[in-house]
Amino acid sequence: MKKQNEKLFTILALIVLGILVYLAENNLDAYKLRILNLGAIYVTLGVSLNLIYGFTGQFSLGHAGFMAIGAYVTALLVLPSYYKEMIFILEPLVWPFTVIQAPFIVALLLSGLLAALVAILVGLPVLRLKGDYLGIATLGFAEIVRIIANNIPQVTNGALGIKGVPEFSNLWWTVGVAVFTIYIIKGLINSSYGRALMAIRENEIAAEVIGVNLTYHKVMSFAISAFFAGVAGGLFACLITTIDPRAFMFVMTFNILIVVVLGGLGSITGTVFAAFLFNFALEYLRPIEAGFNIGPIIIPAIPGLRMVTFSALLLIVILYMQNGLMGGIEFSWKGLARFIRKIFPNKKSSEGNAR
Amino acid sequence: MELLNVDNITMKFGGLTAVSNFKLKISPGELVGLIGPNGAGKTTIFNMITGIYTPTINKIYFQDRDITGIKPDKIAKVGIARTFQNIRLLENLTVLDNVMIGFHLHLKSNLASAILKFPNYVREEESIHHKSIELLEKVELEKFKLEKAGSLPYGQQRKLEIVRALATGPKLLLLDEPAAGMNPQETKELMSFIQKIQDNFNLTIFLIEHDMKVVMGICKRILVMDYGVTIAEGNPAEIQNNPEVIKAYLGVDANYA
Amino acid sequence: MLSERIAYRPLRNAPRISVLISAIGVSFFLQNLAIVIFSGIPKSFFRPTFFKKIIQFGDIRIQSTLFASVVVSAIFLTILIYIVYRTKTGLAMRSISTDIETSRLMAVNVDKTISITFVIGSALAAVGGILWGLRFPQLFPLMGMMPGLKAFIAAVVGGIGNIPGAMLGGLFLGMSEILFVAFLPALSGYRDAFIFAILILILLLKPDGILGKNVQEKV
Repeated sequence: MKKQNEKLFTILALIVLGILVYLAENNLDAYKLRILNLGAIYVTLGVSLNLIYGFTGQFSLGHAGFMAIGAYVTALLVLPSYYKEMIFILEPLVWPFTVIQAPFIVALLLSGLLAALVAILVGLPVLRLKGDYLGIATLGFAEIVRIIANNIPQVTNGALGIKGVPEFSNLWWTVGVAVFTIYIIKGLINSSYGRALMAIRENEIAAEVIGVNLTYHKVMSFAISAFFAGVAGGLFACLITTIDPRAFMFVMTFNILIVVVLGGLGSITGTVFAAFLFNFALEYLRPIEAGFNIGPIIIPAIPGLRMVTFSALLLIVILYMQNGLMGGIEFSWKGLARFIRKIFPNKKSSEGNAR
Repeated sequence: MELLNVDNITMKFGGLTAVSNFKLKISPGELVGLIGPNGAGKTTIFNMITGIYTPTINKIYFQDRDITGIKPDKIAKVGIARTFQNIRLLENLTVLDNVMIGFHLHLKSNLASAILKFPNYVREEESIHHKSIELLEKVELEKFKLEKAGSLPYGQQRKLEIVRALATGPKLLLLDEPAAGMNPQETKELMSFIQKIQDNFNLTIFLIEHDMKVVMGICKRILVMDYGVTIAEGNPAEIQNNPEVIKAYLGVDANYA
Repeated sequence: MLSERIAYRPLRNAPRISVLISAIGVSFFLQNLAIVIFSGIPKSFFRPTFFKKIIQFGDIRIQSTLFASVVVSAIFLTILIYIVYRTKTGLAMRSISTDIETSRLMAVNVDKTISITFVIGSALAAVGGILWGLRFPQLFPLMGMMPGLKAFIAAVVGGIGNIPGAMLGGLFLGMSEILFVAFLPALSGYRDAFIFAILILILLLKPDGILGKNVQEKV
């Protein structure tokens, strides 16, 4: 399939996506929109985690930390000064946050950049670690961020958190950012630098001997991953309009990890599916708590049953689909064409061969 | 002008001395062999030259430049490439990718132009692709280009690892037991392969081997190590008749007239 | 043991991360099950009067629970060290962790040994839980999250695969946390952050933990 055709299809798909977003924004109720928005944000989070873990092979559990940084930065930049004065009741907000205010997109960019900067500072020493040790170190980092947020009320309003963040995130933003994230990260993966990252994943020593600078590539991947996590954090803050340190406990990173593993490490397509599946499942299991009937058996209303069922379902999927939903396959126009040709063998082409 | 000057290096790991006072000078175009019983310290020498270990005492020079302790990726940039005793391929990547990665260190385009696919990057990528296919064709691996590297038969994997090393454009190629696990037919092919690439790519080759056919067959100069020390150096005939060498391989009571 | 058979065994050949997710999934499942069965309201732990006494040494007053914790821990840890380092089962465990296939070839019953390991581990965790409950008598389903995390950190700090190391790690972590709060009460909100910071520092200086084996990859 020619490169021009592929580009054409991609543009067409984006247009279709745009139409779908328009229709959704104008016709769906707030509840459904909330789930779709969360799904899109999880796509950004999942794809960025996939970059550092699935593609570069570095087991980073620090994603929630970068999200938190992004969320707080965006919230602080996007709220008007008088409002900030009002809600910072523990301790007055420190300058310069009292006077700065920025438009949404600037806030998002700055969130991402700050997260990336922190990633570089943390990554330089920490990325020397391997496997489980790296996992705990990054987990420790994320927890440290959360605990600091809890303890500096003059910047974050401490345990009270920040409420009333304007609801700037809508499907245009969340899906837009998700598409941009996929574009950039795919662009990175399908390049010589991407090959270098995967080489690091496959065999670090071999990669180094072939001339790949381990520190540069690992930190670069970590920083880009953190950038998008930070932006996602900002989107998150402006979606649920309240942020407090408890939102960024390990559970958050774990959720993103589930999405990535479920979709398949190293498969961006898988992450997209898994992100939405995860959020839909979590929501649509809610009715279980109200009690229901399976034939003659009456199951009474039990609060908390939702999470029990969710954990059980998760375990089932992990156990029986060990390579993730997509089995590591990536979507491509070529692959789709091949798939369609298999199902609908073209009469024309077979006649052509017979002649 | 010598290409490589290993200047009397010693390697100690805590209390254990793995290599003692190893000296070697290699001139451009040579094919030098390093042999010795297992555990003699041969791979340690390779590891020191390629920056994985830093010699405890003294230095290594390449083209008159001090490369002691420089990290492996910079060593590759300077022009030294190597293969490993237990093949280190990027198993889940394709054969083609394994070769293309060898060209990464010479990439001139920066990260942004690679991600955003600027014309200067696209041109470089096409050139890399082209050169990689050429290399694969030269060793008859081109038909496997889209297979996962880990799925190749053993002999082909070894060839692939050598080809990947060639992609980095080295002046000095270090081969660590390239004939390991090969049958006599494959070994013969390997010997002519090594000589062919030396001519085609203008290489200097330094290899470690246990297979005496290979060593005596293609190496003009051979060093013998035992317990971290060089016990003999010379051409194949000299080495074969050296009593120290015979003792090291066969034991004190061996009688070779 | 049940969780091992249902949730961990099928994943033996899966990428390692799946096992982590499965394990955490099990822990969430159990915790949420507890919420369903026992409801989320904190309950108080039954303490026999023996444990409520306070013993005095001159000017120092120590709760008897402290003694109980130390004595019980010491007993169980000694038993554990004996099992792991001096019995055949323990040898089997250690060999499985080195090379699972070769262990099988050496007639080690891998499945049974792994099951036993989980049983011992969970039993010890339960003992730890009881000791914890004696000290902090308020019980609620999610009480194990932080201690569980700190236990994992203690194991890593001490060196994975090293039991005396884990012991040392746990002791070290506990002492540091208390000393930190004692000497810097103003920063007590940061106590957990302090633990993590120590963890990161230790990992950077001694990547395999305090007593960890430095198993270098052969190049």
